Amino acid sequence: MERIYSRIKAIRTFLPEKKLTNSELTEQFPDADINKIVNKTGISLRSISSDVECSSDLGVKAAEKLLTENICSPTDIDFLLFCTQSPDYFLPTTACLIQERLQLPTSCGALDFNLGCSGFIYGLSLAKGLIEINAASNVLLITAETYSKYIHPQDKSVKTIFSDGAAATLITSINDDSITDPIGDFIFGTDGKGAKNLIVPAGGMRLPKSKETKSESTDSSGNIRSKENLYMDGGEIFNFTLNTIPSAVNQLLTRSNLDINDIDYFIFHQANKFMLEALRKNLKIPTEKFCINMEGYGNTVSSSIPMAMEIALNQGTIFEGSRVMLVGFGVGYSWAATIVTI
Amino acid sequence: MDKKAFLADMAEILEVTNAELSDALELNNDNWHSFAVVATIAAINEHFGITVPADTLIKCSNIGELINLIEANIK
Repeated sequence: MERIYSRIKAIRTFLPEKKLTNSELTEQFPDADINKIVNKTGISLRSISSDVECSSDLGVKAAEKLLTENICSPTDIDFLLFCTQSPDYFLPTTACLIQERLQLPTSCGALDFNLGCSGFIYGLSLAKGLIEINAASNVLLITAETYSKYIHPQDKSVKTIFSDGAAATLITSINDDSITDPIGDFIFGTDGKGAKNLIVPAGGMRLPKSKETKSESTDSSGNIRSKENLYMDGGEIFNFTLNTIPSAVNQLLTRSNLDINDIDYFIFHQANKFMLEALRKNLKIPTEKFCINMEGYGNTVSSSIPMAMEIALNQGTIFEGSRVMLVGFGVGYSWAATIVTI
Repeated sequence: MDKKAFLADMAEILEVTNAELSDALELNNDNWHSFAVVATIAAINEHFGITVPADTLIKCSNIGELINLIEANIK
């Protein structure tokens, strides 16, 4: 019997129209050396959702490109996976709203999952699982975030980095035993000890919004936020990444029986230039094989890997047959990696 | 342990010359901000292959303490 494989057929992305430029940041933070920050992060433009734009809206716009470009039709989709940490509502499931908006069949399965920067890789693993147990043939994986809605306007520690955006990835089944598995092995990792280091503390059931949670405080770097805002301990996140990701990459190579030189291109979560450079040096990956491309986009959380992949495909950096390692890591802490063959 | 290369990186991070970088050089609010701390974490990882907790690093008040902290973590 032929084995069913799954492969990434197409990726389309969407960024909100409104942009936050470096000169606007310089005006907002006259005391901060924005140029220095920008030089380190490698980010010069961020996309910001409007007040009426939610993660479903961004996700729908990305997915509509797959439909209008005739890459697939709504009736082809038999499962929708939606990854977000900024859902439209507590309930219902945002994926259900998207099913209706995209006019996917009512026979389509749909679910949300809550992950950040590792979300795309987890989504690929779920899609591969659904396809390879023959439960679905065309899985639409949408990653979308509107982190800007969590960010305090006076908190440059996160405002300079994060960007809103969405990616729609179509994963389809193929029956061809002559090919290399297009979506290969996975490794996963979780360490909830890091939960406090990247968090929106209030607004859920543990700490509902109240007068107290709206109270603002200023940190030692002059950033203002309340418990309803996004908080990131950059130093601890950086340490987690350096401690975890190089060994995760090596674990995946071992599991895949590959050497680091067998990988044609590495696309890590596009967190910021500084962190990626540190990881690249640690792993001794040559610059030409390592993607650093978020200057005009910012850190789009779960969409950063598919966005970088779409660009690399369009630019011809990766092409049919390229073996690409994808590595996601961040909030949770949560991490995951896989190797795809284009 | 590539202390010389690490100290050259520290001079760049703290925006001083190599000659100005001594054990007594003070780390304070003016030069020991979050970016400097993160950059130091990266430099320590690059030159010594270890990571040092950010909350411990930020408490160092001069370069001598920073070096002692790294040496303690290497052992």
